[in-house]
Amino acid sequence: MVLPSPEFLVYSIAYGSVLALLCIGLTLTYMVTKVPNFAHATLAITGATVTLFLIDRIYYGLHPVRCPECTIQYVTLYFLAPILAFFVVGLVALAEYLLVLRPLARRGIGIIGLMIATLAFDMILYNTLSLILYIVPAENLGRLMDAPLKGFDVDVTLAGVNTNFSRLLLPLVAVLLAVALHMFLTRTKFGVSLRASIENPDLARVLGINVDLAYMVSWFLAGGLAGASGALWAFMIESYKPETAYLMIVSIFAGSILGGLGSIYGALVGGFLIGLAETVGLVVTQNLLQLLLNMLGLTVTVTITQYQRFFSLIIVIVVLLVAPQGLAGINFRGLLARGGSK
Amino acid sequence: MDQPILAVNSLNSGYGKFQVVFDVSFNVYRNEIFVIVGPNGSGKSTLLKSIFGLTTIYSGSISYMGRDVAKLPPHVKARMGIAYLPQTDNVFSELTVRENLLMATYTLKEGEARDRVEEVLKIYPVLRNRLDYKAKSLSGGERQMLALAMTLVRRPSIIMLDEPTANLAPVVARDLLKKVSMLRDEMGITVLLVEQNARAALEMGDRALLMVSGRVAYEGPARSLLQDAELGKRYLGLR
Amino acid sequence: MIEELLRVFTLADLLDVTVILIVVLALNLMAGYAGIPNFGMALFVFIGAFSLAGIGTRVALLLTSIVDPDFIDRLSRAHILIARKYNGSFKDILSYGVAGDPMVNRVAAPEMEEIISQDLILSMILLVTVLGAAIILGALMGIIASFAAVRLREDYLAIVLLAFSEMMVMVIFAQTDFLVGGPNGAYVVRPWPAVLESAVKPITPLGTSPDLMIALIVSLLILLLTFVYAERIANSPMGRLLRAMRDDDLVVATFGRDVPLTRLKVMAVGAMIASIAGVLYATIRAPVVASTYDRFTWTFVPWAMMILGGMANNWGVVLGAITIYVGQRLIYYYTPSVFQAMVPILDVISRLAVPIALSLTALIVILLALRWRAKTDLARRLATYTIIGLTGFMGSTLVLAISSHHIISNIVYVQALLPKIFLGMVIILVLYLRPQGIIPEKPARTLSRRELKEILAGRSR
Repeated sequence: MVLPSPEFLVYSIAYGSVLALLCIGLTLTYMVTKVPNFAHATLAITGATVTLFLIDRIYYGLHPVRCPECTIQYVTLYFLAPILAFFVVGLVALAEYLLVLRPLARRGIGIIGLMIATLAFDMILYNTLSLILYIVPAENLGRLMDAPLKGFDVDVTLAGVNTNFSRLLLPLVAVLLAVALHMFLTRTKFGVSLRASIENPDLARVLGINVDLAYMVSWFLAGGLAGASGALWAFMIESYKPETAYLMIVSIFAGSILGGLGSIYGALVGGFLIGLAETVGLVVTQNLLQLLLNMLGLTVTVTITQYQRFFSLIIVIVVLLVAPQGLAGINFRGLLARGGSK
Repeated sequence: MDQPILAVNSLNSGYGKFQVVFDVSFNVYRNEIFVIVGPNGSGKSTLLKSIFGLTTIYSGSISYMGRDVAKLPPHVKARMGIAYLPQTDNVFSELTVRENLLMATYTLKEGEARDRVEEVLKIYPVLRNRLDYKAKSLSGGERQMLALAMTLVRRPSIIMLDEPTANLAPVVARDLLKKVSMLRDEMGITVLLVEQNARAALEMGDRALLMVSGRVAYEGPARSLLQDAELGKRYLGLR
Repeated sequence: MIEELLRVFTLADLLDVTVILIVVLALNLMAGYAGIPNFGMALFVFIGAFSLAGIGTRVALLLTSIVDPDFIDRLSRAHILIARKYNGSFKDILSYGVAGDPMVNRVAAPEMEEIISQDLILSMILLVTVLGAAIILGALMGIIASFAAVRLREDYLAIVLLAFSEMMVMVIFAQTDFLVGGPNGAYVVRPWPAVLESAVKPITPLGTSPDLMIALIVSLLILLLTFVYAERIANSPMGRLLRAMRDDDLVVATFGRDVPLTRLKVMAVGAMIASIAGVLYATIRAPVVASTYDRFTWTFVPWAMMILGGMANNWGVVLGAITIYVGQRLIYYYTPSVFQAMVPILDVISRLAVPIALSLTALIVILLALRWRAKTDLARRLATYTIIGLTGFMGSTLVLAISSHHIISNIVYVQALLPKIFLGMVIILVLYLRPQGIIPEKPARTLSRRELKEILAGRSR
């Protein structure tokens, strides 16, 4: 059996949605500050922490014993968590911009120094989160660190596929947020001014646009996206540890670079593709390898799923060698024209 | 003569620690075309940028309609009626023509914005066909037109143009300068024009400033500068 | 006082500092002088640890079996599970068990070490093999990393180097049992002959293992060599070439210098040095667990030390490293006692939390209003800094006060994490206030004034 199960496909799409949102956020901050934000994955995990807190305080506070029939509570949690996380992490990202990156950029610090600054902020955020998780007592979950998140996800059976509510919700939320972002950036005056400020801040200032505000909103949005997706992603992971996000940053970079670091739509597609590649792509490769080995008579079981992130690195390297502008740089119209004129 | 609309006094400015403009003073009067010429690197562009607030000002004053505006940020000056058209990057390439014009009318109310855009499209009908195209797909002349349109929608009192004919074919350049004259004639806008093409600019200008190595070498009627053989030959490559 | 300090800073700490100093000097060569934004230092250090724990253990088994053919049988007999799993198969234990199976290497390693250290020749073979592997693998990793530098711009290059390091260490090595024990790690066989141990005994203080002393002495030697080497490079034509390459590689290439080759050399040499440091580090930090070679400890901290001390300046970098290391240790050790002392004050504050918060908010509102109306740039900046400082200070004090009891009961975690949080903040401050570091880069030493005068005098004749 080479193809993965439908359940796994649903998981894959959900994971792809998480990455897509995270890559949009990363690309957005890159376009504003011209610096890759190494702290972006940690922003996502901050969103997951919000979910954790909500589960511990609100959910357990209302129902000391988990009751499977309490769909209302579950559903509230599913919507409350990402909304709250959106604002919380949005503010954290804004803090990173206002307190760290903007002052340093104004000082004239070069790109490498700014990257170190984002690493420094990452370290502060990551360790502060860990600290909070160790110190704040979790009345019901024992310890917030290592909290078992699995089991809070509602089981749903749709079209014969046994999956969880979060995995169905995630793609919907991703699409919703992406569309909302698109509408915001193209249909609203403020949104267009954001794009204008990113492209040519001097000209924008000349026209009376408040470029500083535009940058702040961009960072807030990027953080918000990271928070919302992190909050829902929390439902998908087995147990909660900040280390879970430690390697995530590589996948996020992979998605953004694949899409092209100057294109938000590229980031959306790139992130999603990387998510699929890391899950479905990997499993299919594994099964194919297994098949190959079996045909050659070797009875070794192949497990390469733990190397999922290595896949992303390979993709990054290939992209940078072949098409450094990413998907956005490929002239699709040019390719189509050539093919169609025959 | 009445009060100058723009008065620059002993301006010293530059980029960071690198000074480019040295003790420059001049006046621009209402409804005139004031031309700034000079050899390459003489600080003409920097002077314009300094007036608008895009460089570091070390000392000196800039008065606009009697108000001291030297310390004000660019977007405030823009709202006061001072328009600045840089030589490059004067449109948003990734945005459509429509979006560019929308950005140009950013500080205006919706109804007024729509009216002004209509007005401007009448002056530059070419742009109407290109409304939904990204600015980067426009030709050089079209792009300059869009840039000019973007300054016009704001009904400025004074427009500062930085070498608008650079990189344009001579025919297109002449057409552009004609349109610039129209700004003064038909719309009553004062024009401050920095030009590399000294002859054409001085021919259409009223008064002129000759800048050499960051300092003022001449301030007075444009015709006189054009006819001054010595200055013309030494600095402007005339005759 | 001295006893107190000695309790805070043990000899193991000295080894840590020495190792990280070697790593930072290597990083300074790559990033400070050659301008390569190497965010993947962790890989180079780890590869040295791998040479010891992954390759060294295997070689050790080979050597032990030569000297003691019954070794594997004895091992299996003493540990039934091992026998059952590997059936006494030498090939299997060599290829998988002794480096990849925690069960095997935990029991095998100390025995092998015992046997090998008794024989001088065996120890030497092991030592040479391990160091050789470290150098070769290190150089290999450095060369691969330098390929990325050929085509990529700074920010992409930094991302790729970081990604490469993370993927190799955290994914490939940490997840593959076979290589170096995967998530559990592998124990090491220290390649020091017994003679060294007895030679070192007289100067070993009580309570310290001889292995530590040997590692320490060797590390200090390597540190000295590395420093001298780095300084000589810095003041040589090569150093000037590196700096020119860092500042404008296009110009350098135009002058006929092979830029990619020079980068390759720098990365290879730097990686080799870091790798050797990794070997020394791993002799004490057993078991070697791949996931502990993370980007915070081995990439960010060296960069922080380099930036604080002053990039492209070897003395500065040493100073920065010592400052940060000492600072971290001090915070670690004194956090509990400092916090204990603060508890009474914090209790008072927590009781007055509400009025304090209210007055703080009022103060901030006033400051914001003042900032809005500020006429001079200076006044506005002053107001901003005061607001930030006040919010930060009072905000964190309030948080501390309210949660003081939780903190006390979990002081261990605070101890461990606070130095890292502090380091992050310090680096941001350093970048803001003094990005050139404590000791800024000196201009390259070229010819002396006298020599220049002589040359000019000779020319003008």
